[in-house]
Amino acid sequence: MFGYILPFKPELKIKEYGCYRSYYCGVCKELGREYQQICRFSLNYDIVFLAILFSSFSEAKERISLERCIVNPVKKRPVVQKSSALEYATAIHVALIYYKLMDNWDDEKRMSSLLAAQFLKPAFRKGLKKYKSQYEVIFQQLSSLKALEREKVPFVDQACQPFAEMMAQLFQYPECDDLDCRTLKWMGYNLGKWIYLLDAYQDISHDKKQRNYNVLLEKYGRDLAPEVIRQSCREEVEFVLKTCLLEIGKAYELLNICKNHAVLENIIYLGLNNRMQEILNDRRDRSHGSI
Amino acid sequence: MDPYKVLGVSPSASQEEIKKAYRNLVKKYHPDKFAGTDLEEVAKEKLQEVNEAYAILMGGEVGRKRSSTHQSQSNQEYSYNQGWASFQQVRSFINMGNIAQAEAILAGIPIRNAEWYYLNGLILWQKGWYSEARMNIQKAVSMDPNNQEYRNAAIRINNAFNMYQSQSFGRRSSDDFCDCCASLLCADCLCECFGGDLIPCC
Repeated sequence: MFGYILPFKPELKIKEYGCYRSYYCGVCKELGREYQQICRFSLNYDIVFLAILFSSFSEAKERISLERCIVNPVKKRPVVQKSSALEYATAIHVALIYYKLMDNWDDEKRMSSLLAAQFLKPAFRKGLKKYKSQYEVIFQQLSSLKALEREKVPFVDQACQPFAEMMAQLFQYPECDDLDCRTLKWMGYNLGKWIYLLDAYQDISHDKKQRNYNVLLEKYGRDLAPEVIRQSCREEVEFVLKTCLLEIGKAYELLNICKNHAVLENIIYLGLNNRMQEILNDRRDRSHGSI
Repeated sequence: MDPYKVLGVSPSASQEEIKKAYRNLVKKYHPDKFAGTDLEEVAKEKLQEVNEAYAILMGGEVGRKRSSTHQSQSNQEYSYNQGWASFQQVRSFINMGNIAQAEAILAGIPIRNAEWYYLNGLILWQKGWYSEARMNIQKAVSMDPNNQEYRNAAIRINNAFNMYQSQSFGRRSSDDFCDCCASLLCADCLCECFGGDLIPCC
């Protein structure tokens, strides 16, 4: 995933920020503990969102302890302790990162990616043992994504389908009941679609230069200037992206969330929207800063 | 099922509080809000649970009866014959939320009239293929501009899009008014520092 799922910092209360931080640190520590220290470098905000979302289905209060960290060895920080939600989120993260690196190697023959993937391999194997079906889903959907890219599919919905479907499957957190799973599935689908399309829009110039596949280039004309393409696809992209966000919001309303409401609502209603506006309007107002 | 938990009230809640919680939840889970996607079914089931919990707490049987009729309806099996497939069947599968079946039947219908595009649009929407769905609905409207059903669907789709800004999204960040007050106060303080006064009363 691409680090699009961020809280909107100016609207976070200090305690909500603290809550977000402690999950962030919790995920990071979990990556080091369960997999390898090296995995901690791959940490991104998307996975923190997953960890918070999945944690919020359990009523039990999170166990938090003060711990030191390599990044800041002097000051102790609150860290969320191990839970099945963290475990699930990190396992998915490891698989996504591993496949992404292998994909980079296949596409662009980037040596650094292959090397990093080799480092990740033991972690990947470990995750595979525990979450076989999820890892298979990721593999299958990413394969169909590659097939679509080879065919140069020029339709937005079709191009988004594999990634969205993958997220739909991965969002079905094994410890949720049937109703929540169905709602999560829809939420994951729309979030996956939103991420994929937003990424395609952001990468128009880059993909044109690199001659990479990009559904928007295929549909609106590869030979046009990136500015012109952005202008002509804007209406369709905006329509789909906003519809996705609306559906994500609706799905959230139906979930049985027991805690962390404020943080989740901040991310879902404000953070996603803010990130989308930044990319659509090509601005980085740095309002969220680093977390 | 713990009816108090479903309604989100404490066991010591008064009848008034229970009623209020019930009304809020009915509003929250109203299936119309979730129409057109799989969430509609989830919302219906949630609502049913709320109705049952309310019925238990208020000592009535209304909720339970309603839920059992709903169950039997959705579990009913529909058999169909590909040769005799009709738009009516497609509609009933869409209403049941059985999108794969609806899609299969629709694909087997060779006529490509306005209704075909309309139904295809509904199916695509439910799958999350918003862009294609919108094109199909628009095509249905252009083929049969007088059909109110198609036009309503087109309006609904675009309304969802327009609703985006006004509704929940960005709801907390619309504090321009506060910003305005804050800057006025700030300006006032600055003026006072320099011996003047912008707002005389403070």
